Amino acid sequence: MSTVLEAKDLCKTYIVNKKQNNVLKNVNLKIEEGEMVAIMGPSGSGKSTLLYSISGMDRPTAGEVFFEGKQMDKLSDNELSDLRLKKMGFIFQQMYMMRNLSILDNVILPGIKAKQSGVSKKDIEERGRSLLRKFDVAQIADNDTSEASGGQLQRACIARSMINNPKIIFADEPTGALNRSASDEVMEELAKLNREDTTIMLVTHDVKVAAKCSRLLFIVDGNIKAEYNLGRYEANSNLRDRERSLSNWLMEQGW
Amino acid sequence: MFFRILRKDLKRKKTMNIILLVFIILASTFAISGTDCAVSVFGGLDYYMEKAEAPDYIVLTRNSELADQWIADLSAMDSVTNCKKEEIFFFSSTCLLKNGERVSDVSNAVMGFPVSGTIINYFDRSDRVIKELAEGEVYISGPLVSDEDFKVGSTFELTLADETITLKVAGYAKDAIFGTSAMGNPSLIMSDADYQRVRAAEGIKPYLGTRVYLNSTNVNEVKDYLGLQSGILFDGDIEMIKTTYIMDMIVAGMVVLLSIGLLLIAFVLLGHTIKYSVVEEFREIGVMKAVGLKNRAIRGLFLVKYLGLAIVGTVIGFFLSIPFEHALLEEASRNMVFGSENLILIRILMAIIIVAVVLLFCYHSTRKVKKLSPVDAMRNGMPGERYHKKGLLSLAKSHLPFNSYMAANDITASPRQYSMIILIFAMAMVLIMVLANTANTLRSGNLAPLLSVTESDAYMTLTDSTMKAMASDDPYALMHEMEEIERVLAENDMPANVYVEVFYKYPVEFNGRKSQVQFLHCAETKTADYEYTDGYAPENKYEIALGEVLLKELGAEIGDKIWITINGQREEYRITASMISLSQLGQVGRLHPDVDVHSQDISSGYPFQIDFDEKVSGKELERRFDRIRELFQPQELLEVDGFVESSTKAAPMVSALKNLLLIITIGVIFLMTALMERSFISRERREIALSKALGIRSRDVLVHHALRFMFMLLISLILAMIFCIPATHLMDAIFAVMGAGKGIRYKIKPMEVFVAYPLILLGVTVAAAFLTALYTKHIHAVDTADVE
Repeated sequence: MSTVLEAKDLCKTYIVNKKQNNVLKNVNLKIEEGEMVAIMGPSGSGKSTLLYSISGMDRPTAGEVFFEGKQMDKLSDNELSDLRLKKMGFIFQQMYMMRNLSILDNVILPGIKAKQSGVSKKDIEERGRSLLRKFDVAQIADNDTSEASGGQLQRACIARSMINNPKIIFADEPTGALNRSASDEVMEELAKLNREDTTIMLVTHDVKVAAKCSRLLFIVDGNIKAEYNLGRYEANSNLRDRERSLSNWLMEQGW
Repeated sequence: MFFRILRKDLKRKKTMNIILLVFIILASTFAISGTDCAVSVFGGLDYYMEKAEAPDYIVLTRNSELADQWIADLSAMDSVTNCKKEEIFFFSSTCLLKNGERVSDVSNAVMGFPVSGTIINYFDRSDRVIKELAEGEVYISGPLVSDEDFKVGSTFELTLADETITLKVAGYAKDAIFGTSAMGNPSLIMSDADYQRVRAAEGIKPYLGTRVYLNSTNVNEVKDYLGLQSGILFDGDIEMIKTTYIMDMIVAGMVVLLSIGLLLIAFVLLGHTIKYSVVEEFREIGVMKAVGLKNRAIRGLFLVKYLGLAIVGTVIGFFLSIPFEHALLEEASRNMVFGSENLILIRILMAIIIVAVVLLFCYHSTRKVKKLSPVDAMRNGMPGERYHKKGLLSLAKSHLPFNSYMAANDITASPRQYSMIILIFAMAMVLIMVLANTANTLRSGNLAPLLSVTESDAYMTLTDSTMKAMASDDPYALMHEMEEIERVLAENDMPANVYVEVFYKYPVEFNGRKSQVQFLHCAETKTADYEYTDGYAPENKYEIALGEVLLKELGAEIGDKIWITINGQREEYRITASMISLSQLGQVGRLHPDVDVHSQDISSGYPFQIDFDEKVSGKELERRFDRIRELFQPQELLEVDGFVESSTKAAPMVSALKNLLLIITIGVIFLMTALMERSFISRERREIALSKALGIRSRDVLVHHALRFMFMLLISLILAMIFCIPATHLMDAIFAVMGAGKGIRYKIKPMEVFVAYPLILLGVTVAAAFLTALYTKHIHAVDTADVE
């Protein structure tokens, strides 16, 4: 397994009302290819900030981030955009989509933008449709974004994140706005992707979600306090055991 | 609670609220100034004459003894009140010198008079009555104003008799009676000391004149009396003077058109902005509904918010409208004082209307609140049952480049929203096109029929030839002059038909009323070649057409017979048509070519008209003009456009106004585009952040936003082109006032109207959208996390 993502002494500081707020303090981490890593921690501990800082969505205040060995914090805005477009996938809590595009067009948008020579728009459309089929939302492909349920939309967002065959998917509380059954469905899809060797890094508050990940990073006050290895969640894994052991570990950490 | 929500809303949606406020300011500025302009212009002439204290009748003479006699006789009439006279200097422009050299070629006589004791009021450019002047200073009016040698601050010498004084131009004056381009008499308003100094000069008498002003309840009685007098240089009633303001009123009409256009644009824009800002609030409406607020309370919240914005915006707009209105009317008011007694009331009323309209728009836009459930409202007003594809385009199937697709898709996906913006752009563009077409028509040969001339290849002024014909005993002297010109042209390989429109002055009688009338006559044209407002062209030598002003003055109608004495023969002529002419203040008639006229009766004439036998244009025409200049040394040699410009003298005013109106319209479009784009950015913040998070570059977002406005403008352009001609015909009403109601041919310059202006607008719009869209650089991918 090779390292996909690595952060060294990562710091992120915000200045709010002339007060310095050190959200991330010298964070070090490595994400290996094929891992599914969950970041957990109390509110305000810096989970989302960590996700955005290492995914190139935001620039760290100090420290280094390496993606496939390339130092990301040295890249220009355009290079970062290209990296996000072609090598990364993103899923957000609020299932953001472009209001003026149909769901299918939203899914294939990054594909069309990143279009490689030799790949036709038709091929991209076909891939979009097959991804929607894969996540069981093909029936809403041509719908307006306001005409789908939250679970359907989030699955369409997963399809969008996959359109360019990314090296890694970043998900910020992907089930945060969903009910339990929709949340389970979405997590099953992400776990399935992970079993197909897609690297995933997600932020969650939910033990049930984290239990489907292979590793958990517990962050407190801008530092990774501890990490827990669960092993890959296979189709036949006992989810209840994983949840129980994870809960116990989290309680030990003061969760 | 209510006000806490309101305060939070104002703070949290600062950008959209500020944009809304700016739109309300714009709308109220346009609405208040536009209404003011319209009221000022429509009542303009009467207001101006009243302010100037213009009399009912004016007489000008060189003979002060005669004037005294007239005043005595007229004052004895029951109908006459307030008969007064004033002494003036009355001299040729050759008396105006600069370093001993003649500087002005104004053909009409100049009038000079002291600043104190003027019977009527004269105004400066700020519409203040000119009451005093320092010694050595002078206010000028009329044609001298556009003369480079008489700029404010410049000096010149006035030499009358043996006295020379140096005068410094202190400013430009508005002269209600003699100041228009149609009257064309420059005035010098001098200090009392300067006037007295020149007045004391020996031999000043030939330079003196007298103006008699009187008010009368029966102007016809005055006319009948003065019709029997000799020694009158000019006389006319106020209604006739008002007709000399036609060009000024047309220019002012263009300002009104712009004002109405801006007003419409402002209201459409306001309605659109309020509607979409309320739609943006649906989420909050949903939350408020969900927590149990009643519909009335929710709508009340919006109404209070918009009432606050409307009051603040309208108060600011109220004060901004004052300088804006001045800018609008500046060019149109070069010769006039615009205003109305009730302007302040009209302003306040308009401000109240704006507030009411804002509230009405708000009330209308929030009517959905009642029908929506909390969930519907949270879905941005969508009931959520509409299962169909949004927009007409498909990203996969489209052949458009990515950014173009995104821009085009936005427009097709929200056609109602964008069609309003397209409509606003189209209206602005049509407005510019109509203004340009009108301005170009006013300066073009298409107005030649209004000067009672036909269109020719060239118009050549040869004063000597006309004077020679006038002085000759040969009744056909003028015809011989024309034949001579034709011969010289033919000898120089420029065979042409040469003719001239000439004014002959003959006594006219109708129903016991007598008058001296200027008749146009041209031996080489047909009467049917000219335009008439009513009736049919004279068909034989005993049929004539008369100007509408003259018909009214004589109390005659089409079909009546009048007596005209031509060459000593008093004969009856039937009026077959009415006409309007910009020449001779409209007091003209047209004789049939068969009437036997005599050169000695010529009072004045137009330039010789040259129609080349072959069709010539471009380089060849230029070559011929050069050759004609060599052969005849004419005072002027012009094509038809130049001839009209030179005759109406409106070109500088029209050009300046056109440019001003263009600048205002373009400025408004720039501002609107910038504000609309800023409101789009505010509403689409989430999508912009998402695009960037997905890896779309900032540059692409910028291009997408600028392209969206470009596409809207291109659609507007197509609409504007379709509506350009019909909309231009809205100006028929204005041209009808000039007598060209029957199918004025508009001068449409395709390169200017359909290429240059659209390109300028495109550039301005795209630049405004692009510059505003630069703000999207401040929206980062990470903002996806906190846009909620």
